[in-house]
Order: sequence, then structure tokens, then C-alpha cells
Amino acid sequence: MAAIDVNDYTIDYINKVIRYDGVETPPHPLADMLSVNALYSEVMDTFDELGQMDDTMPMSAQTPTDYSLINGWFIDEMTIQTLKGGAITTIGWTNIIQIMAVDGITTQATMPTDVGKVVNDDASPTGTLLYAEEIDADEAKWWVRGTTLIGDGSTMTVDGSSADGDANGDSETGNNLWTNLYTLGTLYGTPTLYGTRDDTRLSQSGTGTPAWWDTGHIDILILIKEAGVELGDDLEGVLTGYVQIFERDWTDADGTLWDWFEVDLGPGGRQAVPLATFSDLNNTTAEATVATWTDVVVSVAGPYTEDIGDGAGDQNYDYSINCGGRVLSQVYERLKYITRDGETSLIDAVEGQQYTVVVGEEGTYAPVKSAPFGSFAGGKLFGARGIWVYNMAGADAENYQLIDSAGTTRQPPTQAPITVGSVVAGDRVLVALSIGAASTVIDKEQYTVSGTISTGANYIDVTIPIPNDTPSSGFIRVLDTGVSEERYTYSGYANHTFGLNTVTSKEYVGPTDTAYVPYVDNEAISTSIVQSLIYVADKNLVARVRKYGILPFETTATLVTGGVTITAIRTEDTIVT
Amino acid sequence: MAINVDGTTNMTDVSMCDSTTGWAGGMSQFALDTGVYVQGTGSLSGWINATTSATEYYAITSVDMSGGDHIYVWMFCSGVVDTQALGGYRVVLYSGADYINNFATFYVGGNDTHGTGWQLMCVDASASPDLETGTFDNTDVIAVGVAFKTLTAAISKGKEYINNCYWDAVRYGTGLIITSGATDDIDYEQIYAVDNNNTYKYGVIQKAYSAYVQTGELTLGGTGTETIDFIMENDVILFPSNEYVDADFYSILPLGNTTNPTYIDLSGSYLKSAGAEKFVFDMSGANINTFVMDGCTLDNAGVCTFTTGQTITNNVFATCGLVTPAAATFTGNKIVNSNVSSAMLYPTTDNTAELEFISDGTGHAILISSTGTYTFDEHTFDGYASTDGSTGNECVYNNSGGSVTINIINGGDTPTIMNGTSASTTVNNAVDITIHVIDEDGNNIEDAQVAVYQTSGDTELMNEDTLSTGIATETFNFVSDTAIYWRVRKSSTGSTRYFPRNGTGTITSAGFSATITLAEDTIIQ
Repeated sequence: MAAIDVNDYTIDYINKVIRYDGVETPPHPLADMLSVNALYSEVMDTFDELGQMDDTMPMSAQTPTDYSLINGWFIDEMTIQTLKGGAITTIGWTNIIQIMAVDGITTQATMPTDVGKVVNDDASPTGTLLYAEEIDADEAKWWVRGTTLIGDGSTMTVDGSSADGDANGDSETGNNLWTNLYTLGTLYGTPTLYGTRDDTRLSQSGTGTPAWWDTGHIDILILIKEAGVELGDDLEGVLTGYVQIFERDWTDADGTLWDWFEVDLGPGGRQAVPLATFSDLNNTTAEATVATWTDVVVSVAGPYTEDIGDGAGDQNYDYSINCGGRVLSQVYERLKYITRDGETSLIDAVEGQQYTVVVGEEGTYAPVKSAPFGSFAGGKLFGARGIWVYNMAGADAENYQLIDSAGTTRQPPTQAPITVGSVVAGDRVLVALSIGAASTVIDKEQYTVSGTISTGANYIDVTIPIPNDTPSSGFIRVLDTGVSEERYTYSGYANHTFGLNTVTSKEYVGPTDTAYVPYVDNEAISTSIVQSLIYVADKNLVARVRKYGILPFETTATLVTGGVTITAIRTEDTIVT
Repeated sequence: MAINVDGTTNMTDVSMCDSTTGWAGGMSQFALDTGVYVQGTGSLSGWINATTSATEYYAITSVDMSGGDHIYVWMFCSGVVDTQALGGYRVVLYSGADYINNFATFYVGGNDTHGTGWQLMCVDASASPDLETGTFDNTDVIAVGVAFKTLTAAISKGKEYINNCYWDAVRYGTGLIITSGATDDIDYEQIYAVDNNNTYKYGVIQKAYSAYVQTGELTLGGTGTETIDFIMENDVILFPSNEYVDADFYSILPLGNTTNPTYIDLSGSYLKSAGAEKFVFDMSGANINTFVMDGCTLDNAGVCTFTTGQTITNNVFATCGLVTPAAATFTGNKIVNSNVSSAMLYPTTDNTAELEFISDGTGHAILISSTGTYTFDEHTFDGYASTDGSTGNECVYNNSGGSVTINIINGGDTPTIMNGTSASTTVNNAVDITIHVIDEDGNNIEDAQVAVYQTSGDTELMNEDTLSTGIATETFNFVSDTAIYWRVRKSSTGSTRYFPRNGTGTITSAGFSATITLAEDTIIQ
């Protein structure tokens, strides 16, 4: 690569075109690009010569960063992409230069060979060809110097050339504005930035799809007004006239905390884009590896009503992410993966590489620029607003923080696991609320049956709200006071009601009849039993481990924040036979 | 030496009408009247009652009057004569031996052409008579008579009538010759004083309402040894409408000689011919030592001819015949609505300037009859054909039969051309295009590239660097107002660079001049 020089530009006096004819091809290193000022200076030097006095001035300067292409002079996109350091607006293109989409092409125009050749509209001359940009094999964009609008469907030919096609829509005429955009700040590594305008990635002129700039900071001219109309569609919250510049590079092995910035280019001139990216030690997994973590699924058909268990009940979330049982560090990387540079898969109809916040909430929800679905720090996922996560690895049950759609930060409750250790498979283990500190008496009046529960009911109603430290599923023991005690499995509860997996075997009548729910009421299948509970308050517990062949073990304990561990003492019963 | 009015060289008395001797005819109560007369001691008279009188005539020795002699006679009717068309006043000329049967009657005036009182009647013996009895031969005029036709009856005094028709001082000729001393500054008033003297009463110069009325030719000086020192200053000279006089009868004719001076000085005066009969203004006589005419208006004149050594400035020639300045200094004059096909015969010498030609839509302003190069110094043209052609109304008619080059100078209009047979004309109107280039501090900028182009067709008119004076200039052949656009650029490396400037303008007959201030380009690298 060599620096682009003013001598690499051709001034076509006949067609009033300034064109880069050098050998350098994009992407252009910033250091190699030519400043608009240098081009302007060369033009001014050239046009004050005797031989050029009969030619109109191609350029004027308003400020050191604002230049105009005047008197109907033309510059093409490929040439624009070699320039930096100043904005260019055109004056005098209206009804002089027609910009048109051409499709149905069998032969593309050859640049610059076909420049200046007569363009025919339905076989009648309509102007001269100034530039043709190939979109794909049978589509292109033409710039024609002509005063007459070219109508949709016109058959286009070029004298002395095989170039052809059909006008795809009416031609447009008016002035262009290329605003100068440059980035500043600290970039981690040497990433390639990319930009979007009008919901489309900025790319090289012609068939090229990558950007025309090289790695690192950029200083480029971006077409933001064409034929007098600002580009943009106001979609995804990006207003007309705005562009977004992203750094979402995955190539750095150290990982990068990303950044992006949205800037209004409508005013023209030189517009700054501040960016700051840093090392992301939580994003070091190989791209190919993360690509396989497809069990992390983002659903966008919200709102999703979810209760994080913080006691505030259900809240709405826009998107719901099934973590697939993965630890949240992996979830974090996967979510970055689907929004990284080059990702075109859609998230709620937006390419992942362009995704910034919940679609439709741009400008309302604060974006998390370093990772659009949420950041990760200290082993904890901080979800972006409107993002619900679930089904993460149990170890990460508390390692996240969310923001519901209303903007309220939500934290999962603190878990208080009850662990009964030193058991063996087959041991029957029960841990229940006791009637008092150091009491081994089970509180069988933990609940009072509410009303009459008929035989065959699939629920048990109690008189008090069921506390959050109740296991989400388990067993409820109901006492037909003075008569019997039945053990039913429940699959869930809400407010005052336990939902049963079975039906009641008899009738219960409150307030005589009572019930209680042991925290652990199972048979061990390994050397320990763990029941995770949401910590609500300290609780007095009584624990029992029994199995034929050992002496019954019973002890008391207190459930505190952080949980409690009870170590069973299995003493052989040498008496039984 | 005082003024001398010669009324005999070009005028011949027929009868001063101070007696009835020599008169014959049949007018009632024909008699000498010594109480009513205009010249001498009496007039002749008779009466008629609302009818046509008999003719009273006076026999003379046969005279050939075909050379321009006009009959002058004063006539007066105390009643009311009939109209001219019906012969209110009549002059009768007889010819030949049988003159009683060969005479011509001219209806020289009437109540519609002449006022009351004594009126000078003048008729060219060569004019067409209103009545001709027999055959009148103007080369053999032997008697001059008068007659009246009145609408009113003569006043009777008892059984007698009082005469109501009078005539006096009958002459024939062409006019007066005026001479003077070399420093007399004689003028129309002095000539009139002599003319109007009862002794003469030629009637060539009359006066009414402070204006002089000239009937005939006024010769100033002579070609022998005469001297004339004549001035005309703020006078009004009228030449009356009279269909019975010759077309060249009215004239002012200076003549010079090699012995004594002829000084003619006209200024601020107005000379007008009231009718179709133009007055000839031929100042081209030889040996006129000084002829100056300034600020005068010649209205409805015939040919106006001048010669070398004369100075004709700031005059108006309105509805005149061909004006021929010849080699006279001819500047600041206006030639308006010429009544001939070309208003002026352009001199071959460069002695004209600042002439203003105005056309009523017909005729050329200038006739060029000789090939060569001519200078049009600040001449302007208005009302002429706007393009070259052959309408007859082009500014210039080149009838030289060859090549003519016209150089327009000092901002004159570029004339349109009609070329006669085998003629061709090149018009050069060189005006300056000047652009002065300065910086914001007013300092001259050297080596600024300055270009000027014609808006129509983009023809390059100038493209050069400014000199150390900051000026770039070129000449331009002006034809008509020309729209231009200009460009000034200086942005070469190695010296101060400036923002370019451009603009538009118009090259007029005065050229184009502009001062352009360039602002330093502080943006450029």
C-alpha cells in the first residue's frame, strides 16, 4: 500500500469529473488517504492556470473542513472513499445530474472507459454517463449528466458500449452531501470498525461489501444526503441523517468490551465519533466454540411476565433468554456472539451486528454498548433493560441482575440451601420447621387448613400466604387432627394454595385440621441431600435421618442466610436383627 | 464701411407704383393713391364689388424669367379677398407680342393665407399658373399685372366708390446681396432695417413678432472683392410656405473672394421653412474666411453644405436634406428625422465627433460614398434598423462600391450597415475591458489570472495575468451591449493564494471595467 497522491486523480474537463485513477484499492489505511484539503489545494493550483480559465472551478472551500463541489462538477463514490478530513457538498446537481437504479443488466458499464459516453433512454440520447456502480451482476446504480428525468422502466443503452439495463424507478436529481466522520478515543487492539446507514452496512463502492477503510480509527466521508434527500428510514430508532459506528470485533483473542456511537451527519462538516473499547476477559472463548452454543435461545415475542422471586411479583420483560442450563459466563459470550461484527442473523428483525437495545425501544432504553444484551462482571450477568434470563446453571441462580421493561432493577432472591450430609442412599431424611429453638418437635400446625377440603381435591388451601422459603415442589403433610396424617406431593403453590400432583384421600376441615411442609422430605440417593430455599428469615429446624439398621438420628438446627448444613451421624443399630 | 444691401443686382424694379404711368387695364377707378402705400410716395388702386377685378398690368421690356426670377409685389385689400384657391390675390404675367392673349394668372394669396394689410406676394415666373390664357412663355415676359377677387363690396361714397384694392413696388428677381465692412457684425436686423425702408421695401426680409421672415435668397458677400462680416445671434428666421416659389428659392448663400474677408458667425438661432419649400443652406462657397455655426437649429431645411475650415458645433438639423460637412469641423450636432434617403454624407476626413442621429424609421444616418477607413467618434444612433441589412433604415449606407472600415471610438454606438453594390464594411468598435485585481488591503495583485468570456457562446475575450499594477486589460470590438462573465484566480503554490472570484457584467459602448478584491485563501494547504 502506498499513500494516495494528488497526482492519482484525473480531472476530466470534458465531462467535469474529478476521479481517482490510482492503483490503490480499498480498504484504504487512514494514513494513506488524501485529505479533501489536499485535493482542493491541487484543484485550485491547477485551475488558476491560463489553460483552465475557460473551465469552471470544480471546488470551493467554506472552512478547512467544509468544501463544495460546484458548477456541476462530479465526483464518484469510489473517489470519495479515498478522501478524508473534510465534508463535501455539491452545488448545481439539481436537474443537471440524474441518479438512477438500473436492473436487468446483461453487461455492466466499464469504468472509467464508459465515462462520457452518450446514454440513451429508450433509444433517445438523454445525457452522458458519469459513473456506474455495480450492485450485483444485473443491478447497478448510474449517474448520468442530463437535464431530463429518466422514467421508470426506460430501456437504457450506452453508445459505444455494451452497457445496458432498465431504469428501476424514476431517476432522481439534486445535490449530495458527504459528511466527514472521524473516530477518536481509545480502541483496544486494532479492530475494524463498521458503520450502518439507512439500515445498511457501509461498504465499498461497487461490488465490494467490506468497508473501504482499514483497521483502527477512521476518518471518512459518508454520503448522507443524495439527490437532495437525507438518507435513512427512521427504523430501529436510527433517525434519518444518522449513522452508527460500531466496534464489535471478535478477532482479538483477549476479547473486547465493545462500543458504538450514533451521530447526526445531517449538518455536514466534520463530525466526531468517540469510542472507547477495552479488554474483555470474560469473552475469550474461541469464536468457533461459542458458535456451537446454540442452546442459548433468545425469544422476542414478548412481553414476558416473570417473577424473579424478589417479592415484587410478576414483571414484564421484552425478550426472554433460555440459558439452556449454561453458566451465565457462557450465556454472556453467546449473546455477544450473536451481535458481533458480521452477524446478519436477525434479532427481532434487526441484524445482530446492528442490534443495540430491545427493538422499538431505541432512545428509550439505555443501551449497554459493551454488550447489547448485558454486561458481565465479577461472575455476574447484568442484563440490559427488558431482558429476562432463565434456566441458567443452578450455581448461577443468584449471579445475575435484570432490569424489567419498566426500568426497575430486579435481583434474584438469596438462596439458603439446606444440606444434610453424611447420609447414604436409601436414608430417609426429613427437615422441618420446629416449634421453637432447639426443639425437636415438628411444628405440625405450620398451616391451618382453610375451609373444607373435600375428598378428591387436588389442592390444599391454607389460611396464611405461603412463604417464599417454601420449596417450589415437594410434599405437604395434612393432619386430620386426632385421626390421621396424609402426605401429598405438590408441584407448586401460589398465595394460599398448594397445587397437588394427586388428590386428597379424605376430607379436611379447618381450622381444626392443620398441615406442614417439610423442607426436606425425601430419600437420599447419594451421600447428601441439598434443598435450595429462598432465604426469608431464620427458621428453627428439626432434622431426622432414619433407616433400618442405624439408630434414628435427630437434631435441631437453625436456617440462616447462607443456609445450613446438618451432618447426620449414622450409628449402627446393633440391636435390631 | 456700413452695411450695403444690394437690391438691384438680383432684383429689378418693374414699377414702384408712384404714378399710373405705364399701367393699363380696366380696373374700376384705377388711380394713384398717395395716402395708402407701402413704398415710395404712393400706390396704385381700384375698386371692385365682391367680384374679380380686371387686371392692371405694366409693360416691360421682354425679360427671360425662366432662370429663377420671381415677381415681388405688395398688395392690399381694404375689404376681404377671396381664398387663395379662388384667387383672392392674383399676379398676371404676359408674354410675347400678342401678350393680351397670352398670359398666365397665379393665385398668389387669399384670405386664408395672408392677413390684413399690405402683403408681399411672390411668385416664380416658372411656377404653374392657375389660369393660362393662350400660351404663356416665361422666357419672354413683357408685362406684369395684378388682379383681386373680393368677397366684399367697395364702400360707396355717394355715387362713387372708394377704392378697395391697392398694389405697390412691383419687382422681379431672386433676392438681396449683403456686404459690409470687415468688422461690422451686421445682422438680420440691419438688413431688415434697409429692406423695410420706405425707399426700398424689397420684402425679402420682413419682421413679425421679433422673427424675420425671409422671401428669397440672401447672398452674403460676393466672389469679387466684397467684404462681409455677418452675425446671426439668437435670431428666428422663418421661410414662409409658398407653393409658387421655386424649391431652391429660399437660401442663405455666403460667398467669398480672395481679396476681402467673409466672416459668418451663426449662434443660437432658429431657421425654419414653414412649408414644402426648403431653404438651401449652402455654406460651401470658396474663400469664406470664417464660418462658425454653433447652437443653431435648422428645421426643414434643404441641403446643408459646409466646407473645410468651418466649425459647425452643437447644432440641430431637423427634417433637413442631405447634410454635407465635408472637411468642416462638425461636432456635437444632432441630425433628426432627415427627409432624404441619407441624412449625412460622411466626410472622408476625421473631422466629426459626437454626432447624434435620430431616425423616424426611414432613411440612413450616414452615406459613405468613398472607400477607406472612417472614424466614428462617439456617434450615436437611435431609431435605425437594429441589424445589418437592406431595409434602407440602417445607420450606414456604404455606397462606395468597395471596402470601408469604420472604427468606433470613445464609446460611440456600433452602427448597422447596408452595403451597396460591391461594397463591404468592417466595423471596429474597440473598447477596453479592464479588470483591476487587489487584495483586501487594497494592494495590487500581480500575476492573477484574469479571464473574460462572452456569455453567449463562451468566446474568450481576455485571459491573461495582471501586471504589477494589478490590471489586466484587453480591447474588444464593441457591436452592442454584450453580456460577459469573468473569472479571477490566483492560487499557485509559491505565493499568496486567494479564493477565486467570478461574476458577470456587460460590455457597453464604454467598455467594461471592474475592480475585484481577492480574499486570501487561508484554508488551502
